[in-house]
Amino acid sequence: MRYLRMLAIPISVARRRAGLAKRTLAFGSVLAFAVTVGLARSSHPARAAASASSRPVTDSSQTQSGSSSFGQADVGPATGSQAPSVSTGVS
Amino acid sequence: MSSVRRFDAMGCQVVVGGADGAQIRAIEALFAHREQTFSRFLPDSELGRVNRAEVTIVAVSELFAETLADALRAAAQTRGLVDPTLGAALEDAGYDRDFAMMRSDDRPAGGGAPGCLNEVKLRGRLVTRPTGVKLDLNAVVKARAVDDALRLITGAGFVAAGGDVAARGGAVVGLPGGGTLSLRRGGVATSGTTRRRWRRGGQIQHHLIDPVTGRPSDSIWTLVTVAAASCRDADVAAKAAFLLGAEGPAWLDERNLPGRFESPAGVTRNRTWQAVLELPERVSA
Repeated sequence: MRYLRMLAIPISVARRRAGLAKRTLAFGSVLAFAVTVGLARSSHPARAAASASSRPVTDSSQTQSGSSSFGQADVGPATGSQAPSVSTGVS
Repeated sequence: MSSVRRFDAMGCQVVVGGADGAQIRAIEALFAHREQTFSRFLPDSELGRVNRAEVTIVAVSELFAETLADALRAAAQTRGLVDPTLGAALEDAGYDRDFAMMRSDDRPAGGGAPGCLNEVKLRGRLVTRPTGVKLDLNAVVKARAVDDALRLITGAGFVAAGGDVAARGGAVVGLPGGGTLSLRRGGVATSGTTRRRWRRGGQIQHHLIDPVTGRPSDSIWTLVTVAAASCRDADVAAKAAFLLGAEGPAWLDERNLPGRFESPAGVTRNRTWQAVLELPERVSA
């Protein structure tokens, strides 16, 4: 019976439905592509760094472990120091 | 402290103070092993093998995995500024051989190869990345070698390599831009464009790559010096501060790191540098 009912649909109606389905699919694909591109661009960590304030981020997928902070050196002026000296260059 | 010893490794001179003969030999072996593992230019290095692999998942050594994990951690600490996926960008700019063998080249540099940090994953000793991505771990390799070498010295001592130095027990560090500081514990690193620079198609190129453009950074700075708890921390922070340009001094201040910046216009010291290194009395951060 179901097949008989489908066959009873006029060709013009079937074409209209098929056209609507194609347009919906095409629009959906374009929208999904645009959203994906937008998310990919905005989520690049370096782009985020350039546009946002310089607070550190925590990205669990990239932070394999450990803290995101830097430790401090014990440094001071060299005046009067008797410690051995070493000259450094540039990396 | 024992006499100072020097040897060449990783394209620079390594200077070691406070080590005995056995420790010096161990330090030389450490640098040789790291260079053999992470060189972009030695054809049989592990990094070269990973970069040439035509499969997306590659098994690596424990040392390689630890170092890549640290490079990814450095990227997270700097919001992706210090990016380990810029090997192709360096080649694009013409840095495709040992720096001592670089010559001016009339061919123009490539259009740039932006980083693809989010596409690199590390699970245990398995690295996943798209084929064609070229890793460059130099942002952490040399500084980690300096820190690890210092651990091989049992007493007070220091290890310096290029712009990186780590010390324990005290050393007076002469800075490339002039001036000195007393480093009692931790590391000091200077990154900049005054040494590793070359011409490609008549244009100056250098090795500090902007990960967004994939081209040598147009930062306002020529040298950035940072002191931190380790040479690795100092080097990563110096590179990030360089790439941040005018925001670099404040970025370091937010992390309580002293930074000294040189540009053609002169020298800038951030607030932390002024507080810690320009007071007459000793200040421990």
